[in-house]
Amino acid sequence: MNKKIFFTLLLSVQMIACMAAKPDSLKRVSLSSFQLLHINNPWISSSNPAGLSKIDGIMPATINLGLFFEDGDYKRVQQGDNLIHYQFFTESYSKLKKVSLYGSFRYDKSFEKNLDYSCVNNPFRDTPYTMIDTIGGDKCDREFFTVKGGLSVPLNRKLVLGGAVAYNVGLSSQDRDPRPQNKVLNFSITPGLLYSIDKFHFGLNFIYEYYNEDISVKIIKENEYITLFQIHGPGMFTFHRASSFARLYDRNGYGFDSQINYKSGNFNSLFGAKILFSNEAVKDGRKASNASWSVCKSDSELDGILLDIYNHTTIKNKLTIHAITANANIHTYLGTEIIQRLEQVGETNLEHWITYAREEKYGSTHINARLMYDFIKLKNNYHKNYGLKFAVNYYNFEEKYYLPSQIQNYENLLLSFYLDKSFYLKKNIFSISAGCKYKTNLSGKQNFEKTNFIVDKLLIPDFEYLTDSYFAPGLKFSYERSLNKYFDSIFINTNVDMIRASKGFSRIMVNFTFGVNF
Amino acid sequence: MKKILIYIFVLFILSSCMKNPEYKSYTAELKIDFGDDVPSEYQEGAKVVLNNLNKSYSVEALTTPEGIVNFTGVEPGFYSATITHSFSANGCNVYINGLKNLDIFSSIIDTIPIVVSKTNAFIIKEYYYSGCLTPAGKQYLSDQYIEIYNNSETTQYVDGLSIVEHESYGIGENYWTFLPDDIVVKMIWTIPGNGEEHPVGPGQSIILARDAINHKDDPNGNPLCPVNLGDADFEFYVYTASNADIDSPTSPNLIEDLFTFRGTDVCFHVKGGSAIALVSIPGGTNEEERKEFINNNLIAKNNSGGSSTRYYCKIPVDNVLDAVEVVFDEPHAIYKRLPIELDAGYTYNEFGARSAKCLRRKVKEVIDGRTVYQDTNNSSEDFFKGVEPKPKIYE
Repeated sequence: MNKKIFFTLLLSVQMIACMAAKPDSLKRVSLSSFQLLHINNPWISSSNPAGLSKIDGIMPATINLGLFFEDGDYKRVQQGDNLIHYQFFTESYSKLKKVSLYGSFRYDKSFEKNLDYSCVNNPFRDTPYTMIDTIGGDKCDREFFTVKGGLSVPLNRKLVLGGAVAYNVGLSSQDRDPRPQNKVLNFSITPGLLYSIDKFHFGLNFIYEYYNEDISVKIIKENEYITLFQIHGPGMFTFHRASSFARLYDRNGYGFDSQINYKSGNFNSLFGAKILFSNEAVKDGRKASNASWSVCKSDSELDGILLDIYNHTTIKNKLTIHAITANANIHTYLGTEIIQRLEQVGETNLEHWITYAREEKYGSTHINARLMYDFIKLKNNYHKNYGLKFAVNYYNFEEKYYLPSQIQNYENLLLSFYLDKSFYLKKNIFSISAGCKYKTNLSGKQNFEKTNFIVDKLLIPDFEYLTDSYFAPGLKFSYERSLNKYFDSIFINTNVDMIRASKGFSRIMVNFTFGVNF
Repeated sequence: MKKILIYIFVLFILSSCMKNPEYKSYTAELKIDFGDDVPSEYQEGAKVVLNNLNKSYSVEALTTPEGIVNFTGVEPGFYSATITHSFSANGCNVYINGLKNLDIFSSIIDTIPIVVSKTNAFIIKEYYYSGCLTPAGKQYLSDQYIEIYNNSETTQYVDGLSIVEHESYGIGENYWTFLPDDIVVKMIWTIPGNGEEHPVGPGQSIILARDAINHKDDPNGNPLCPVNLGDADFEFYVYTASNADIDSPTSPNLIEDLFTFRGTDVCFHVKGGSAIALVSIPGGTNEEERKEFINNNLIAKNNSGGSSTRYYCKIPVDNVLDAVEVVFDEPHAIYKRLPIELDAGYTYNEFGARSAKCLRRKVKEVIDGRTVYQDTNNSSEDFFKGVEPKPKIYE
């Protein structure tokens, strides 16, 4: 079936289901409904779809259009100077008898300008095995569709079965030789169970993820060859010159997430632990005239293990909510290079890549720990009066390439603080939020046995970005108006964040959202 | 609380799944087989370069007095080891070269043979094969040329010398390894003359052009071409009934002695791969004797399917005055064809096909205004890989 027809049908079904839900004039959905939904229902933050059955309160839905703009010189080397991003987004939570449902659809279209050193859709995907070219000033055009759906069905009084699917597909392309066309598919399926005993609830869900990025690099200019670099680690690469090239990233991930939830009166706490294993194979080749993979070479493999421990605790006391979110995750990667040589074999003397060795050459560790406190004062059960948010985020990164020894590591601390206040004037709600972020580098060093242009042009400037301190004030303003028919409210929302880094670089990010809640 | 502790314990156990890479590190002990050609006092300090062919980085070491180098901490992969050394003895400059491809997937002890090279008066100074692009983006290859330079201090004659191209483009194992004392060629073009017709003064050169025209201005040329070959000394002209190859009236034609894959014009591979040599074929200026030698040294090879047979000519290594091992790129260096006594290294235009760049020999010194080019019989060391073509400019 044509993708566009499929997505349109899916969206229509979802919207009809949302509209069919009985309106409740006492429980008007507003912008703050989504924040309250997440704070009051810790199960939503877990990956267990069976937790949908534990949602209390209103089941909000939204349809909105967004415009995101970003510009400035405080950026990573492989990031564009500016970005324009359009988005259509709709999501809804609903209940049909005993079945709890969640669905969302998102369409993203973005243009990233002046992009350097990248032939992959996302060069910051934690894999060292990227592919780059040195012809800069690219414009990357991305178009992605994301559909998510989940449901939970009580099997009996104690046991709930849930399932969720997420499907993200899109295309990114660049407009200057060499022109990579990246077809990206991201898919996950999550079945889960939830078992309740009195005030305790135990959850367990399985996770399967699949990622596929199929890159076809073309050079439109006739008779032109361009050098493409296959990165193997910090400052390590192989290269070749070609007029076309193809690369395939193929990743499978699987794991499970387990949860314990204690809920009693005003106290609601969810503790969870997730482990996820992944294996990504990278293959290179040229496309023959029949568009099949020919002379396919195995470049590398990346094995990853993610451990995530999290806790969401909410204490609700009449119109006051205290919410504490803490999580720590460690993500390690092990990279294996596959050493091959193209040889003529057999009686036909056809060329094949012959594997000589598989060498474990790369390792990296990402540690991310976060503690966040939310204080919310409600106007009534469904609307915010004012709020305060404070968060501390610690990030530690280390990567090593072995022989020759190429090492870099750093650790950063990010502090953020926000205040918000809502004003109610009859049918109108004005909300204003102000705050700031402060990032500081705690330590960091690069130690390269071999230096080359990749180190000079990419790794050193990127490291300066990653270890630079910054101060980022942010301002948010939103306006909502209640509606009497079809929808609960219509809103417009504006965010402005401005980063000022210590070395004089800056970046501004502006976000406009317009839509309806119901 | 007890359950939380159990959780943390389980996660701790699972975290033991995370492991550090188990990478391999090998040693390569290379003994240089200096033989009797190099006195023991000159065996120390020879530079040995171990070049990783996949990752394009290299490590260097100097030989011990025993002629040994030890590389430690070598990652698995495909390497080439090259030796470059020179010394002066009895008033002569002696050049030592050696090359060996090494597959290092365990610690190795190996011996590398060397050759003590002789240098000749005539050298290949510049080799331009990449071609260029026209304003319309089409490829333009008519401007290929070879420049032969008199590197000696006396006048020499090019009459009867031949330029040859190796049979293979170096994209697979050399088929002719059973002929270690010969090179097998598919093309022989000889400079006409009676032996004293075409003198080349010291520090002077001649151009052998594919098409001897001013490529920049000629109506058949290309305004983006980097060279004017209107005053080329000789031209590769291929006669066909259709006159597809334009015969320049200003430049005499080379003599076509062998052209196995005879087409409408001579064409060197624009990506590289055409290894060439300047040779003195027995018979020299006498065309009949020369052709008799060629006929007596023809050697057949079937194509891969076995459906047809082609004839090539084998030429003794002793008849080669200078040679350049040109490969596609670094990974193809493993398919080196020329013996190390002719060229211990390899080279290529790193900007690739249609880049308007050439290979040019490095200048060693300038003596009384005469440029002396480096000639260690190791093109890895002797040539710039991809520079602007500068025919008859000596710098």
